[in-house]
Amino acid sequence: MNRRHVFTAASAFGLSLYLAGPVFAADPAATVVANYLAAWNAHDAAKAAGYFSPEVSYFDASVGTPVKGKDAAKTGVIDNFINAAPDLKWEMKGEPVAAGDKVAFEWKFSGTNKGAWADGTAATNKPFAFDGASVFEVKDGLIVNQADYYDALGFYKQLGLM
Amino acid sequence: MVCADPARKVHWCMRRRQVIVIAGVFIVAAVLAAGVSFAVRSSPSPALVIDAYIAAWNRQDAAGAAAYLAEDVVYFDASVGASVEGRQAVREQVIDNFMAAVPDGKWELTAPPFVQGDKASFQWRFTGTNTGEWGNGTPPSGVLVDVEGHTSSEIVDGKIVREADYYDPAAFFDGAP
Repeated sequence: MNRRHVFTAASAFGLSLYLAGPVFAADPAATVVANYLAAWNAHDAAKAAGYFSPEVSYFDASVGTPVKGKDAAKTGVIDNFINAAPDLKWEMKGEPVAAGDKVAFEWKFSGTNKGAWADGTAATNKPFAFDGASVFEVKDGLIVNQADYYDALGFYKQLGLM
Repeated sequence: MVCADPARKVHWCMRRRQVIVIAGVFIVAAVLAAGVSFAVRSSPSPALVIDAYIAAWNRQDAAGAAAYLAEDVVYFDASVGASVEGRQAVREQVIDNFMAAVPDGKWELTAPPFVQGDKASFQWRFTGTNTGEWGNGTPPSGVLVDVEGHTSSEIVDGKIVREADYYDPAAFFDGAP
């Protein structure tokens, strides 16, 4: 009886691990990133920044130097974009790629530049839309790394800044 | 309980045990077989294909790089904004084009690629000097290119069926274009 139970339980456990394994492994990081994206689209900077680890490193490849820390990333990136494009939309294209702590997705970012940029550049009132990709690393439910890759030159041209 | 019947006890309980053991063995075998077939189907792994593809680029081997592309590959460069379709078109418009314009171009990964099923993500740094003309007639800028980017790819049966590159092309120009 004991052996039978142990064997049956072991088989069932093994099977459930096998079936649940990949989905379970991919889920938590991708969910954090999806919630973070939703907060951006709700234009809720505080909520979006709530998904950052206190030590987050936010890298914009066209800037080249990462912004370090939750408060600096909120002010320097999220607040900056929400103020400059209060109608912004950040849409995921296709499905994300998720493996362990890492998540990547391709996106389209669009809006109208109705507000000033943090660096003092005045509002251009021009609409813009550009494609990009971001890579995230998530630890204990919080984003510790974000890296954004996009055509910044094309973006500045759309705003008439270049 | 059936097992309580002294006349049938041994026989019946044996049968039940056998059924359970056979079912258990079957489940384990099915799990192993699924794992093995998955491993066989996904070989060579997308990570190996990416490494080999980049190595071919780095030895300026256009034919070698193109050999990792599927016949009907779709290549998207976000800064161009349109897709190039088909191995031969990608070879000419992307691989030959870059190798002619930046003959000493080097592609290195800045983080290990990660893979989910057929899809892979990798971050890179591209360096080199723009000493050659671009396919569209743009003359060389002489600029030392140093740019970081990201590639999303889909790799099926060892061939790249989709590649999408994201980077800031400002790095290819000398000052304001």
